[in-house]
Amino acid sequence: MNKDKRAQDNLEAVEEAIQVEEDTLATETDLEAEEEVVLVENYREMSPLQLTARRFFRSKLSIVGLVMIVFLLLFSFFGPVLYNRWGETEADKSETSYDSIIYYTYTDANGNEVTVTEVITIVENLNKYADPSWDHLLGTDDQAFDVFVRLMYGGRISLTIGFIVVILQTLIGIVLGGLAGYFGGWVDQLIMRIVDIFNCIPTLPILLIASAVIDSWQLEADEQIYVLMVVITVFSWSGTARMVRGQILTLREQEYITATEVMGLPTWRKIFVHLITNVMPQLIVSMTLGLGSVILYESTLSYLGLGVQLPKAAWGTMIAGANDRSVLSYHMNMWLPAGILIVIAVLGFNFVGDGLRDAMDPKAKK
Amino acid sequence: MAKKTEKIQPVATQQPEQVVTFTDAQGSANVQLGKYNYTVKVECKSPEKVEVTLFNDGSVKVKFPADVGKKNSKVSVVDSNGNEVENVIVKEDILEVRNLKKYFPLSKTLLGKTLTSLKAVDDVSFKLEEGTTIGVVGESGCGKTTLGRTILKLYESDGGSIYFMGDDITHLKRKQMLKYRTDIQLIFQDPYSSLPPRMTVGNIIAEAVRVHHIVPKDQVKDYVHDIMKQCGLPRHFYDRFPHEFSGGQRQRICIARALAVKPRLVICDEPVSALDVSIQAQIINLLKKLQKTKGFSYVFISHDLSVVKYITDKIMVMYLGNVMETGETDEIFDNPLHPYTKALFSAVPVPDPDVKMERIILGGDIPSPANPPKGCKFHTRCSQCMDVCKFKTPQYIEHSKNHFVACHLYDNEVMSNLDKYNKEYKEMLLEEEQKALRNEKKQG
Amino acid sequence: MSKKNTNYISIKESRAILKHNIKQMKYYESLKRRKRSVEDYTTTMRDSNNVVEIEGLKTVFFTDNGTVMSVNGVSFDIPKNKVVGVVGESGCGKSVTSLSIMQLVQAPQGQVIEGKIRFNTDDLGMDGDKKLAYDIVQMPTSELYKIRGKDITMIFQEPMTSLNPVFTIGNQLDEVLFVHTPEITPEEAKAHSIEMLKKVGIAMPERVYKSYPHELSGGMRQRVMIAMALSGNPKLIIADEPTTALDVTIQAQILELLKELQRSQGCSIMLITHDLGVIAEMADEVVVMYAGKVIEKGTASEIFHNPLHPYTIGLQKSKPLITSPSDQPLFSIPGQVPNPINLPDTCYFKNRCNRCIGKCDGKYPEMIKVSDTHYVSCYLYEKEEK
Repeated sequence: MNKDKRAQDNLEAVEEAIQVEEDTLATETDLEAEEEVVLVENYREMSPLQLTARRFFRSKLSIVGLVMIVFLLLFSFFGPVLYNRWGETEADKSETSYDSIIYYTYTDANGNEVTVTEVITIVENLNKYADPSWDHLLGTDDQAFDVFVRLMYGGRISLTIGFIVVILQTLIGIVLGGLAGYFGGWVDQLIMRIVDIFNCIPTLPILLIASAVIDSWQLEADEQIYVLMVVITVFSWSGTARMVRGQILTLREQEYITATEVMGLPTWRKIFVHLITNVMPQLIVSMTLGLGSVILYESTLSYLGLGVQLPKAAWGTMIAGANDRSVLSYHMNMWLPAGILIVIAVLGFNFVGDGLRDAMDPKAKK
Repeated sequence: MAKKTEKIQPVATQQPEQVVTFTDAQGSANVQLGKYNYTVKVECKSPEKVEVTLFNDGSVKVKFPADVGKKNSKVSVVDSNGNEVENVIVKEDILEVRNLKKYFPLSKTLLGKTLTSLKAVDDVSFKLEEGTTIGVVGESGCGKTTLGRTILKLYESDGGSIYFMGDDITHLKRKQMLKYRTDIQLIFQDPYSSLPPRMTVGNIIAEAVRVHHIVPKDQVKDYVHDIMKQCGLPRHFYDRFPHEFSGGQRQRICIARALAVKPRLVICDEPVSALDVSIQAQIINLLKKLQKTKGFSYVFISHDLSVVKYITDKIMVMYLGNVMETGETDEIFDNPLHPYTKALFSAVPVPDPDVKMERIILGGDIPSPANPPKGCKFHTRCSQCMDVCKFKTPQYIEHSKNHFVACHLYDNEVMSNLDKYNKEYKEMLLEEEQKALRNEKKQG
Repeated sequence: MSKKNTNYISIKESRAILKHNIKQMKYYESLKRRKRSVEDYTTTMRDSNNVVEIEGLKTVFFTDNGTVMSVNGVSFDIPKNKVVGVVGESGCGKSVTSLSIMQLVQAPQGQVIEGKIRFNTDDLGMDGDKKLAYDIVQMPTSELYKIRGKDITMIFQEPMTSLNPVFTIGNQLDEVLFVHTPEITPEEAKAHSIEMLKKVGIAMPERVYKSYPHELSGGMRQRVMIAMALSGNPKLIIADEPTTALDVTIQAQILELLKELQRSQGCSIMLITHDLGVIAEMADEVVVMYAGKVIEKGTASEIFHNPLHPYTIGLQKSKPLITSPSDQPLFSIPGQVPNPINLPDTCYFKNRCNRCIGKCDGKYPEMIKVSDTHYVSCYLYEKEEK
């Protein structure tokens, strides 16, 4: 019915158009009347969003990535709401006891070997180093905190830091890269040289030094997280700035940017409405890929003691707990889950980033 | 205004059709033709050289040159009895380009001094009367696109001057230029890359309208719909994205975008060469219609001679940055003078299998504009090349009225002294040979 | 359904299209992979004076928006020693037709689903009084290599991108020879290549032989492409818009050269272009295509002096001529070229036609014979046949 109606409309439009055409040919006066009315919509196409979604979901890997990320987000942000048996910094204070057995071997005067067995029953008021059980799904750590719960809270912090840092570095990257790319000349030279300097700083040694310095300030755990975000941002914005500049340099050659100049649009509009919106797809891709690396960074720093400090939980800090041999070999439940989650997060964000890159690249074949 | 001229012009009798005079320093002039005897008084900022034309039906055309401009000016025409004459058309040259140069540096010294440069536009001059079209014709690398963009001030010129509606815009800064931005618009060749991909059609057209407050804010949407209608775009295109359209429709959107800011001059950079034949005709008709209704002036850049012939009033043929020939369109097509123009015309294939034109096939390729030949730039491919062409740059000669050509064949001075120049050339060759020999000896 | 969304496919439809595409692509790919013997892909020519006979060719592309019928039942012949011009606007399927002859349609999205392309070769001999020929559509790729690039060659539109920038011109010319005549020595190949370059009017063939593509101008590169196409002594050259990217004066040179070479080499040329002027200059026979169908075919003088289909007439009228008066508005065909997806089974030009009659609402018109060489697909001429 709908189709019929459209066909009918088309027919009418055609008749009208022919009439118009004849009129113009016949009289040549009524120029205003010449208007294109014929529009044959014999097919429909996909909306831009649909097209992107189609290309994104074409790759199995990006679906896997998406599932991983959704799982992590649910786990960290909804997990503590549902599973609130233990708090983040709530130690299991149930009494536990274990026997410490020590063997002493002497050789007495007669040359006989005498073995003395000393059994000491230690009673503790904290349930440390517990193995996985129904009480503690992944056991407890050296502070008697529940590992499973801390994983969830740690995820919250790690992901939040990731998002905030990525947004910060993208903002800096857009502003500095945009200015450098648009104005060129000495502005470009100045900004790009700063970027170069940041690129050639050896990150790890500097972070170690910074870690020592910040440690000496004796900050609160919360404050330390802010410092951490700033430090990571400072060391990671340069890549985004460079990418934005490169994109803008190529976009500037496009004719529609020339058109904005011809239209006499103000400079800010040209940069932020026309140039940046067209860099957006690449920015989203780089943000997604960046999230993975920020989470890695954060874990590294936390592991080194610069990052999130106890009693706050973060995946990196939790791995840092595995710094002695007995924990490493006998209490895998303390550090392995955190490690797995880091791997899941980084892989997930990378898969999704790759998928988005393929989906948003306008040059990619349909 | 445009319609008025249409009514008046076509009268032709045995009498001289028109007389042309220029005003004196006080801005007054006397014109006389047949029974008409008029006194013209002009008040403007520098009244000398305003062109006054009296037609034999008693109508008068007063044309201001582009460096004077008709704004803030007053014209009064009185006949011998002291009565005001009504048939007065006031026109101006909307654009005048004088000796425009644009060089792109190819290599520089360490201090930034240019060593060699590509002379993309070299000494180009033309005038464009309002409501008319000038065609810029030439092959790739002849500098026609650069010319267009230099007029738009997208490139800084390296010499010469540009006058637009009475103002010198040659050395204006970006901010000062903003005032003129909406007056000069550009239509691009490639309808695919000239529209922002992430904006809807409505926003593309409305953007500049909003920025420049062309209509009040609440009327923008209606205004855009109106513009779209004039350009033959259905209403429901407003919310759609450019990628959903074909080349012809995109070009209509580009035209609508330019039209929306109410320009006076539109520079069309090969607007139809990327389109299909049947769509080309639509776009050309649209451009012509807009010129009639809105009084636009066009600088129409193209390599397609048949299109140029159809839409332009004047033609300028360019080759390697130089103007080879200019003149009225009909005059150039009826009577092409320059060998390059002739070759260009004969190279256009005619869609009729029985018409076998006598082809002038140019040998060789277009030389690189970075390293153009000496003398006449065309001499390497010219079928009528003489020795003098190889070292002497030809002058512009007004062969007939308003028909200029830069070729030695039409230069009486050169043609009568050919022997002298031939000798000169031979001497030059000898000298160069000796120089080369000496250099060889030095090295050897 | 809100008005805004009617231009877009719904998710349900898009899923159905995807499913359909995957099924179809798998089916046609499996057809390609099955084993075939020589008998399977040899047929007989209808007329042994033709180089190529195309019959009912259908090439489609399976896209996300639906199945694009790029070439929708195209039939025409390319006679020996003739230039056949294929005209049409962008998207009319003229390039896809040529790619189908070369079997270069991009798989798996693009598939030749129907039709025959008979190629007249001397290798097969006769079957009674009928000439034996290869059916290119059925030919396996391994066999195709023997023909493609040797007997059928192609000149592309963009001379800038169709040569490999990292090899010298000589390298690329020699390579063609080595592939098709393995017994040739490098010295012979070089001599032959230089000979070819000379043939296409290059002044200093030795120097060009050693140079890289970027050192040459557009016209020179197109000459090199022609030399490459000629070097295997082809029976058919497909020239896909060979002069569109060139300047007018260079275009004149190249056209002159092509004409001359066609005469001296005795091959056929299938010239694809949108420029009626080029067609008029070069072609002996003309095929006019619109939205994947041939709408009119005939000799050049029939098409240009007695065009019948309203589209052909409109096309000729809408091209401004140097000789045409400029004070009247140019004739223009209203509307846009339709995108060949889900086109209704009526005349595709109906909506833009100014001579529509009642019958046009019916099925797509058959080819109507006007004279021995002139065919048109339009209801206006149906009576004349009877």
